[in-house]
Amino acid sequence: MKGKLGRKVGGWSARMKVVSAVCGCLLVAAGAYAATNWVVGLNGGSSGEGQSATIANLSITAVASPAAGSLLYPGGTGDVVVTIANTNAYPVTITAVNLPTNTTYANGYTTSALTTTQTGCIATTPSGVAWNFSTAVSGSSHTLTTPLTVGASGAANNPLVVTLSNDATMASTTPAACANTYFSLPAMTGITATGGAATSTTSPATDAWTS
Amino acid sequence: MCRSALLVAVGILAVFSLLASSGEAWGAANWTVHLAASSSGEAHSQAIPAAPVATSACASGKKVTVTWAAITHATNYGVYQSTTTATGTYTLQQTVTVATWTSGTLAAGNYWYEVVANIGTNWASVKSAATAQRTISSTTCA
Repeated sequence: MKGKLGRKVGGWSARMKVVSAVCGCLLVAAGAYAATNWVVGLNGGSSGEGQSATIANLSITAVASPAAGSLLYPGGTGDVVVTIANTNAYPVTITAVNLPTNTTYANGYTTSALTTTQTGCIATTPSGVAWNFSTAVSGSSHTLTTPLTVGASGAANNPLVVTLSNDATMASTTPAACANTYFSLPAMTGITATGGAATSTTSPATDAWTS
Repeated sequence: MCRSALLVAVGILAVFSLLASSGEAWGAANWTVHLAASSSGEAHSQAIPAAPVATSACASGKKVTVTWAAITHATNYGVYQSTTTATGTYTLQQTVTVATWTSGTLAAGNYWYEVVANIGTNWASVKSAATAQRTISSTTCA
């Protein structure tokens, strides 16, 4: 004996119709979600996690302008300036960064162009310059004081220039050769970023992680 | 029955539409991805500190006090003394963390002083210009 949902209607059972409707709804909902919310990685990423081919990674690079306001000195901290480019067709918001270990040091260069290394002040000397608040464990996550939103490709505030206040540190044992030197900080190991509708941060911006 | 099926479908659609519009993760925890080696930020270090400008004065008894303007970020200062000439050989007397230093009781003779500012363990300014000569007599400082 067939139940109510088992009755045939026009060649399709009611059960089949319900299943079809549910599947359709799932597809529509998933499409809606995908169209409005993305998760974005960093350029050169190699996390091994699945990622839509339509989502481009972010590029974070060193930049000389604006000049750092707070300069490094032995036993002290200094500003780091970066530029973040987003080639996606929608804004991307960064909420945290992942840092290498606190013994991964920066290379020193003679000019802000970061082309000629400073003799006696390279990562293996070591320079003693590292990311502030980095730990002995690679990949530690550090939340930005204010989330940064990079505008969509071609939109305003993309690339986004950011001064990270006092997010570099210099060891008290840093050699004298590292005075008046420009540093390329070691590569971050990752970021936490999400794509989707958001108001872009005005460039240039100031931000930081403080722990 | 058709109405029931329709209600179920609409309900499910509403739930997922809400998730989508609110940005809540629907199996979408944030991804953390490694950076290319060349991706980085730029920082700049200050120059070696300039030499302090030191002056000296007689303190009570047969002592000399040397003072100088503090240097930004200085960890400490080295005070050097010569007993021959202003351009003679200077020897380190003491390292202090403040911008003043007073000698112990000095023997009769002439004295000159120079000061070095240190930042950390390896950054040192050049020595300051020598202070004016201070002469210790058998009884006082001049």
